[in-house]
Amino acid sequence: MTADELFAATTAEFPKLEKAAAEVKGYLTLRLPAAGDLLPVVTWLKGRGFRYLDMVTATDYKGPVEAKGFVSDPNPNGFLPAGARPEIEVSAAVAGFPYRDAFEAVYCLSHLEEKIKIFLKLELPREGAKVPSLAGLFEAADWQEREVYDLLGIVFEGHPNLTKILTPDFIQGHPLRKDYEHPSTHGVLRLGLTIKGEVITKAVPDIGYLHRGTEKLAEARGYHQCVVLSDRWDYCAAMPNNLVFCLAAEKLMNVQVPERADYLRTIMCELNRIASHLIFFGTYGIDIGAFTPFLYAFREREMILDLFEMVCGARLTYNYIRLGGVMIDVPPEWVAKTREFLDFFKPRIDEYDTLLSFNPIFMDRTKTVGLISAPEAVAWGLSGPNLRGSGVAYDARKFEPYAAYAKVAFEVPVGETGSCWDRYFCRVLEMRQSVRIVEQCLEQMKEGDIMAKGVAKIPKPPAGDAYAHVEGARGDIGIYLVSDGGPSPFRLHMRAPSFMNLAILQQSLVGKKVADVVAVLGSIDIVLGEVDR
Amino acid sequence: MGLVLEKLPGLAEGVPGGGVFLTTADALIDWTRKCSVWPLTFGLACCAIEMMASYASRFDFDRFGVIPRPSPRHADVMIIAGTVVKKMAEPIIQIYHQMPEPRFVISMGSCANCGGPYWDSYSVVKGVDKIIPVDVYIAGCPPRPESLMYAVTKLQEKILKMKLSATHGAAPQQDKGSREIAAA
Repeated sequence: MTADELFAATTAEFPKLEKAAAEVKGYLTLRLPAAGDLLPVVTWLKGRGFRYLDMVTATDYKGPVEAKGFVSDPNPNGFLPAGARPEIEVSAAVAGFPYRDAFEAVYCLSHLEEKIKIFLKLELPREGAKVPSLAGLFEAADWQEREVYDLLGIVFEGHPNLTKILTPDFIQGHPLRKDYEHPSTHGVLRLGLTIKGEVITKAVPDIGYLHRGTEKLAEARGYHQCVVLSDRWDYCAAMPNNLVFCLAAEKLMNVQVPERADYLRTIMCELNRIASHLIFFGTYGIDIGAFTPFLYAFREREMILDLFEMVCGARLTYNYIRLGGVMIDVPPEWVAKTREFLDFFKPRIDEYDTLLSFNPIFMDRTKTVGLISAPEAVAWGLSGPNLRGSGVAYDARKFEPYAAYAKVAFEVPVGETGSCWDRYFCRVLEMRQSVRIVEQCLEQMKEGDIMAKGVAKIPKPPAGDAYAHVEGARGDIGIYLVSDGGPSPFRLHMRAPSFMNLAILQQSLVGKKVADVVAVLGSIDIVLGEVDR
Repeated sequence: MGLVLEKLPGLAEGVPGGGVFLTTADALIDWTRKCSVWPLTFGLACCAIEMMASYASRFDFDRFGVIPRPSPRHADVMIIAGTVVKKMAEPIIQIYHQMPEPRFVISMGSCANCGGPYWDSYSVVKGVDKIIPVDVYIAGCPPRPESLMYAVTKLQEKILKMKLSATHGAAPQQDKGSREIAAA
């Protein structure tokens, strides 16, 4: 199905729908005339196979306003020297951009088999904004709508539990509104369990202990500075974060990245995936009660970090992938060093299999625990190894190949039953695939430029919307970016895979034994920096 | 005994006849404290990954007697590894007060020191020293494991200077932080 066919089919069913004036670049974007049209259209789309809800978010289109607090006060904490101002100031209104007293809700749905995404946009008044909730159709809407309610104050009618999710109760107001006033006033997760004997009857994850407000901060940073913020979302695998933000911004700026940079980006993301899966492998062993794998995993991980240090000097927060390419070319001895590491690493994966994967005790603890069926996983919007563990082969690298993924051969490993062990083993298999990808990239990569020409020091992309998504270590990371033509993003929303993956605990823990909670939670492999942003 | 004399040169004196040695209570207690600085297993954000790396294969913190403990009741030092969010401020104070005295705090990384990259965020506490007293600060975003190692040796130097008489047995710590969260 192409976007045009989809558009024809949708408008034949709903003649009132039309293409949105500001379309999300490269995707079919439809404008819904009124809030009442949302449920019929989405129900119809779901019946046509759009069973995966990627993203629910909203933007406040009120123009830049002088609000007290962090944006208007350049030095709220005396952190900068007296008289200094941040490089990027609060953006002034840009002429020609349609600022208005309105919210715009944005929904993104995917057809996993046909590999197509559709965006729906709905304009809402700023006062008393109300939309019907999609929680009855997609479980994935549950937390995403709560997030929009918390940060923007849009009420979702019919939502089963519309309460604040990221900000604590004592923070009043909705931070992502443009006129929000700043009140003067490994991650932590609280899991509230109601138990009957050893059996869990209710599970309520309490998040927000690492909510750093990056989506708001991005509105006061330049595009280059946002890359720095992106490092700290999923800090176990920062490279894909860098990449997804750059891809979205490059779509806005119409920048073509040189081929060598594409290869370097692919190599770095895959090495980072291995490093991140190694952390999972080590800590999941600890969660189950096996300490030794941790020491093995971190030995290999340090070697990957050495490789990263050679190219960009950092071990964790790289800021290596930049708008238009990468920061710097790899040093001459780096390729040989990487090959050396891959040769060392390949037999180690077999070692992990004997040590943990096929260890009878480990298998007993995980093989029949935490089962998530494929339809459940899709409805809750899981992604990454958690979705693939249930047997759904959705991988952004195959769905819409970016960087150099179209040029390399690799497989997408899937599990069978969706148990903790399946999710775990998917990651082990993915490490093998990542090695394959890096080897092919090293083979194919040619000398050349690493940075596109003409990326400004303070970029001001033309007004518009863009969405980019990549396969991070934890799943499908999406960035929805709105530019008003100013020096900083007008709105940045991150579709955080961990945030979506965590929500399913509300359902999947019920009926389980208390002793299995850690096994299930560990197998989901969340990073709180990404959950809370 | 020989080991003790070797480790405390100039402080312990052998008594003729053997089996007994003299030293000050301060020196002995400080020395034992310094050799088993047990941190609380408690990570907040990115820095926690570097803290984990410090405990793992290459850096091997066990060498310094630094062995992470899961309960605050067993811990001597709290490493604030990551961004302190306003929602997290209250739990941190609670955990801090559950630790037995003398207790120490290492503020690891820019976020814990002053808010770091989130210096203008609506939801971040701009420095953990606004809620609890801090003994050692480490710069970096995130600091390398070597920096954490250096911070531990600095803390050990600090412990060696502690005196029982000055504090009636307790550590020279305040009960509250010097500044309020609301001052942010």
